[in-house]
Amino acid sequence: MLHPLIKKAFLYPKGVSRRKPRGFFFDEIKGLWSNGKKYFVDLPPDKRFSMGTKKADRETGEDQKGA
Amino acid sequence: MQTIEPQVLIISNQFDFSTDYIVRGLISKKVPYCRINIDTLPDWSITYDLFQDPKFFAENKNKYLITSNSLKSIFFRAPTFLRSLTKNINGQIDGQWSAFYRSLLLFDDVKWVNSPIATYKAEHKLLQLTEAKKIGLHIPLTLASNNDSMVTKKFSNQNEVMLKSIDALMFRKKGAEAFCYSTPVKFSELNDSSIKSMPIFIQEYLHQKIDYRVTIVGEDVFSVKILYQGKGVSGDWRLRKDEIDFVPYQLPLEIKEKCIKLTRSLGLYFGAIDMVFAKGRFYFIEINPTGEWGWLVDAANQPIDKSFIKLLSTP
Repeated sequence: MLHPLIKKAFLYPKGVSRRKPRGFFFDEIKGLWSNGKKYFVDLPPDKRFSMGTKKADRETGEDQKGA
Repeated sequence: MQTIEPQVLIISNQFDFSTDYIVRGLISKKVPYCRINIDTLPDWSITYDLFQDPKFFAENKNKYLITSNSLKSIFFRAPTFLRSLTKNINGQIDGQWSAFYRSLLLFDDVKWVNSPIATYKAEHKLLQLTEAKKIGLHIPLTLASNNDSMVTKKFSNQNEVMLKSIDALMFRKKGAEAFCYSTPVKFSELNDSSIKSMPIFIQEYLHQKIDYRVTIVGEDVFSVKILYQGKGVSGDWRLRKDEIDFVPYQLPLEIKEKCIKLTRSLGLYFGAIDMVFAKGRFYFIEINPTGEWGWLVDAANQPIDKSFIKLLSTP
């Protein structure tokens, strides 16, 4: 018999987590994503992709536990 | 290259975009900081020197010298637990790095947001619920067990229950990765001996509930109501994140104060609390000491980033 937690688990494709924002790079000197002119977090929300992680939620902390 | 003596040390990863809000704020306030991403640690040169006063040297594109004289706070966005899917050598290397950056705990007189020690303790659901109840928050009927007779005894009068894992549960299944969310299930689905191999966490199913996310940063409280087409979301709202609205909401003062008290009693400065309103009262569901908050800055116009910057840059 399959354990209910295993049976009910949510499946998501492998490795869809770490998406780099297109046109941006991680500025090692400043310590945030930038395109040289503006920071990624300065973009209006609809111009950013969802800050989602590899799961269906946005719980970075949760996500990091399995990093 | 000039050596920077940071006032705020950030331990995060490149893809924690919430940390970008904090960095942007520190830049604009001209607060010296250092962000170390744990996913690029081998690109850094890092040394603890314990021969005199504890010192921490870090060098990447910049040079940093961290001492207890200059350092005021540590924003810790790294895992307290490392759970590797495989037990290969890379998992072992990660474990060594993790112990290395956790050794920053030697700076014990700075403000840790949050301390890995407090996070470790606060991650335990049963402990959180016990503490919340002690403080006077309502909690749903809860049982954690691998004994199906006990589960039957406590929940057999309920058609549906909320099934959860005791701790974050991730594994591989059918070539994909799998994660256990809070899932409403028929009680009859649990009434067998399969739970013997692993304990489950069960709570009463709160019908017609409305979810709330309460974010505590220091003494500041940010709360939103989580709605789908103007109504509460059945089951785990995280599974419908793109369809729901996060509506700013003022919690009753008594609930607000209890949320702050709970966060403090767990030794945390920051906590992302899940609550629900059902049967005419607020219920505490859980607190996440490493929870996400960045999306609420824009989606619900919550200045959580400013609150963090204030917390990190003031004594």
